[in-house]
Amino acid sequence: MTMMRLAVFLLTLVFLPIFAAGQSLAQNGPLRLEITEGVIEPMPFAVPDFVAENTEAQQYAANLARVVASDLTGSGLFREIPAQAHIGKITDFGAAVQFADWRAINAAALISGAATVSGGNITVKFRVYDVVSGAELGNGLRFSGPVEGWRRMAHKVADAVYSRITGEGGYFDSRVVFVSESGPKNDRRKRLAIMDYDGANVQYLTDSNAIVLAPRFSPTGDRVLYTSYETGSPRIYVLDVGRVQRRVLEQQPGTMSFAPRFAPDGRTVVFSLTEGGNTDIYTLNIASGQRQRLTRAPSIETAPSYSPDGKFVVFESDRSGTQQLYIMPATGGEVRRISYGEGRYGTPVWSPRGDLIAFTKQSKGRFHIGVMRTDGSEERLLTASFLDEGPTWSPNGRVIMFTRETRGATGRASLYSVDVSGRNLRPVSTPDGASDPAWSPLQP
Amino acid sequence: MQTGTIISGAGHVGLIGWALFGGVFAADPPEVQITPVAVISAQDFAALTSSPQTVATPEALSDPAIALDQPQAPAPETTPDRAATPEARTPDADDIPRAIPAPPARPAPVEDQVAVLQPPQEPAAVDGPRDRPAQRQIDRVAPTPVAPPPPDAAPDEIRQEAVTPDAGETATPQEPRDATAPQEAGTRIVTEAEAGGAPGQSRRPAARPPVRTAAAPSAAATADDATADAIAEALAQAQATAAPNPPVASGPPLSSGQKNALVGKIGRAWRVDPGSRASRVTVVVSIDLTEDGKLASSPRLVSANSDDAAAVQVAFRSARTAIIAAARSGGFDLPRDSYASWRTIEMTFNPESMRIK
Repeated sequence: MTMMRLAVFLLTLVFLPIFAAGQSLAQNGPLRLEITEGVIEPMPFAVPDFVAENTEAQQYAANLARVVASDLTGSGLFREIPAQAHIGKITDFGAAVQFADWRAINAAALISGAATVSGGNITVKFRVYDVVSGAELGNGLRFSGPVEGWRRMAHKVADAVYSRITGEGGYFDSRVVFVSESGPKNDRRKRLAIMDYDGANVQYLTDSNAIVLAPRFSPTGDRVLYTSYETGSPRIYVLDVGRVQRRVLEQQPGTMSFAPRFAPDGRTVVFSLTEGGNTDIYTLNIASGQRQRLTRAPSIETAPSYSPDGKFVVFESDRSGTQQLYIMPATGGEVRRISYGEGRYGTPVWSPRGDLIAFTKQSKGRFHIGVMRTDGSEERLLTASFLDEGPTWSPNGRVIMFTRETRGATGRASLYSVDVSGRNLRPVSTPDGASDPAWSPLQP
Repeated sequence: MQTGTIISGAGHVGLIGWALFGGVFAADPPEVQITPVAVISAQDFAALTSSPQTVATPEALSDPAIALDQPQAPAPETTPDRAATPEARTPDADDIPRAIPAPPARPAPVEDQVAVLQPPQEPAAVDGPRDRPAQRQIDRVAPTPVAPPPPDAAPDEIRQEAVTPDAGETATPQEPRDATAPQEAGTRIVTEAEAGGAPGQSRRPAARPPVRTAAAPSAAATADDATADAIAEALAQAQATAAPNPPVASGPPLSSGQKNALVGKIGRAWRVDPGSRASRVTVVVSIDLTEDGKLASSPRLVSANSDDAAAVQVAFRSARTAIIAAARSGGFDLPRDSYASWRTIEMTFNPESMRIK
């Protein structure tokens, strides 16, 4: 019987391919093909100078297009076709688009816009076209606002274009709060600063009399939490960005509080508190001042970060002997370790999409910014340098900004951004040294 | 070592023996038909063979194919000039001049802080108007001469059918859309005598059944460029307008090399963003091709493996762009004799190997 089965098996091996080949010859229905290999390259687009619809708008028309182009190009997903290569011209925002002109230069997308300035207000409108299919992507949009905010108008246009082409939200109309650093390493002066995501419009929020650390935006972007050594020991402050007014949030004698971060509801703050030489994680209700302890371990627990739904907190702890990442319910309770690789993991930050956790990893003498799934799987290191740390997510969860510090006594801290795919690593322009960035949500 | 050899040898011997003597390949012998014969003597045989043999001249067997080609009725000496027959020639996509619309009215003054602009009038006139009145039927020769089209005017490469909402259909509403404008005027005057009237001779009967070409599939499944409200709508839209009768392939299939060349050409035009949500979506897109390897209609979304409507839209648009771009760069070089096998192609765009894990 066994021999019989063996023989049948062998004969099956011999005749099955012949049978399958015979079947394949008899095609039934449409031809079916599978394409699994495409190309990973930026999408070429054209954005001619916006049309100035009155003389007052002339000084903004070209600049608007430049900011839009810079935003899109900076994402790494788009490549601008320079104006010198354009065949067609957009001189009338409402005129028909001659797609053949733009196909001829291999543009996949075309952005046309116009601006009008009247009474201190600027109105910017735009349309985005899929050149290949010769159709408009969505409807045209129009933004109005004070003329001083023309860069925001351009960022909003870029966000809309990004969203229509990629199907995902943009991140250009956002701001970044960070620690501005000046002076040598042994006498570094630090102060809080805020800027547009691309480094424009830098404003300082504090003076440099005290060391400040780890600023973090509220979910609505109107407040900033940070840690200051103003009194000699670390204290948590909350600062109203619009009025530049601050107040101490957590002050308990004999303790040190630091590493604060808002909960997604904006009413609760999670932070680390050191008392009696032990550091644990607590939450604080901002309105009532009520405090709740989440961890009770003799080890150091710090750097907490909420999940977007507010149900979990990821944090770092050395309870296993080395610094690793853990997740626990937002009300405390069972703790689950998620990082198991070599080296030390720290400063975890939950992605706004909820699917990834960014972290700093120190391994074999080098620092990395990496991401992993929330269960610790699929760890990917995006950067590697002498010192990379402190990741923060863009509002759409697509880009990570972090601090990179160069080696030596003259080493300088600066900000970098990298796409979550590990591509498009680029520095962020700041007037001085910069560290500890925190990305705001999209502005309303 | 020896044990394995012995087992292997025994297995082989057993298999061969079983195959030879086990009756594996032996079929039951066919039944032998026994025909009764009469035994004749040598003299009878000699008498039979002595008479001269007459071999009948074989009748001319008509070649079936030739016979089919022979007309039953006398063939007309002259066949009508097809070019002179103006009847019902569907204008090819290449024949359709691009409409150059008149300039639209200026946009209304801005009042809202953030306002949605009305759909453009002019681009719609170029690429499928939505609010334009029904196309008028115009004489083949325009009463007044018109200015020649600009040199950069090019015919739309994709011909689309008109889509009108079905009053009785509510489950899958479709966006109304006009058909591609027919050719309105020509350069040659076609008189009534040439155009119609009774034929001078009866038509020559077709020797073979004419090759049935599938009805031109409606091309209503071009992407809705606005954000789709649901993937179901996109799928229903695509499926509702799919080709009604998928062609039955009868020609020889493409070789694997020809398939690989086609896949490679489209793949080189398929742009994938490995960090996007769309990179997690596999879409199946159907296309119809003309005999010369050009797109006969806009690519249609057949299916997608995601509920993320926005990601599906982006994935489909990326696939459609790749197909159109590949088709524009010289078309698809496919053998005509196997047109039936590639007239309709379903392409699965699967970015799984490209996306970041």
